[in-house]
Amino acid sequence: MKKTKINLLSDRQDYARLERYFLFLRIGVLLYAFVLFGIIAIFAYFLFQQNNQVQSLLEKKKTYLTTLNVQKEDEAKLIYISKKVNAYQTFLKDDARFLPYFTLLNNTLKTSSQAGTLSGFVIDKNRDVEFKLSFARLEDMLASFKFVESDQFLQNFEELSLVKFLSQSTTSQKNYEISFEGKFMELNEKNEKN
Amino acid sequence: MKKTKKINPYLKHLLRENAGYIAVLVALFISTIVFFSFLNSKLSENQTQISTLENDIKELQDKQSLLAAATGQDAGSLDNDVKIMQNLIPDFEDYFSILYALDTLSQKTGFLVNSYTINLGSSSTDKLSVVVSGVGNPDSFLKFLNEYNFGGGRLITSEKIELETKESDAFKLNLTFYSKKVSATNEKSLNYRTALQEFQKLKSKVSFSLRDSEVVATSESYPIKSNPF
Repeated sequence: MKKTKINLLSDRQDYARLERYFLFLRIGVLLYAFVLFGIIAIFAYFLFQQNNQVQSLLEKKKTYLTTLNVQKEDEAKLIYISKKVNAYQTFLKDDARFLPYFTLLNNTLKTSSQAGTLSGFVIDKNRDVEFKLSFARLEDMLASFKFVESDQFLQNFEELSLVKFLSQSTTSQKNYEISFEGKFMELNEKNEKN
Repeated sequence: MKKTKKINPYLKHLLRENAGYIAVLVALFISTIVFFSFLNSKLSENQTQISTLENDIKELQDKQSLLAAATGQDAGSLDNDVKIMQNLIPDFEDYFSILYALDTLSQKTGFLVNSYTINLGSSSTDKLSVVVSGVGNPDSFLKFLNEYNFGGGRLITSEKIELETKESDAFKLNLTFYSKKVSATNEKSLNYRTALQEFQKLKSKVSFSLRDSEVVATSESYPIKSNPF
């Protein structure tokens, strides 16, 4: 149905309501603009500071590079030494490190009067060890087992087993020999010094 | 019948009146999106650059302090250190230095090396296996075993060592001598600090060897490789 009349009373109310909304819109736009401007200002300052930091770091890096450029020859020597040291560390792993382990075993045996004499010692780079203990009397050898089985002796080994017993006699004397096989606990530098 | 909806004339008027504000609002929305996406990328880009630069500077500072420590008070100390490493592990195998090392060890320990055989079967590019036979009492042999790693001025290792304390004065040893050519170009994985710490420990063990070889170099013109730099 076609509208032929305007209701002035109700339309005036509509107009006031709409105008109020548009007033809020105008205030909102202004506030939004101010807030955005404020945020932009803060971020621009932050960005400015960041750029300054980048510039100062670049300058610092340049200074270090210039200084190091003068010491280029020294740096090359340092690289050379470092690479050789790395190679040395790798190569040294091939060593059996005989003496520290031999001394350790010898010193441990010396703490017991029943331990016999160390008559043979073989060690490889994996700390696998074979050694022989010799005794002049059977009683000494039997007594030595107590020491060999003690924690004081066994703490030096990851594993240890008795592999051979030998009794030899010549016209003048008898000799008893026991052979062991095992693996030493790894010695660190601190232990080595002790 | 088709119904046409008319726009309220007041609304039309108000829209026209506030068109500028509406345009500004749309522009503000668009610029907010553009600004924040730009800002986000720029800030993260700067942050990445800053952390990269800080890392670079830390590395350079570290390198400089290491260089200062390595050079020390004496300008020639680095040359000396290079010489120590060149003596221990030469760039190329040098048979004369093997002879010299065995001779030095003999003199130092009293264990007389009377023959040696180069075992090419167990040798490789960097390693030279030498079977050494010598005579001496167990004490001199133990002294030799205490000294052989660095005492001859060359790095020597032995994979397996056997000691029989019987009435025999002859001993046999499998020794390995090393050589390795290294370049002076930098590698990311190279840790100077750890290497130099290890070098300081090594240096205390080989100081005598270097002094000995230097004396020989000047007094007997024994060939020693010159500084590669």
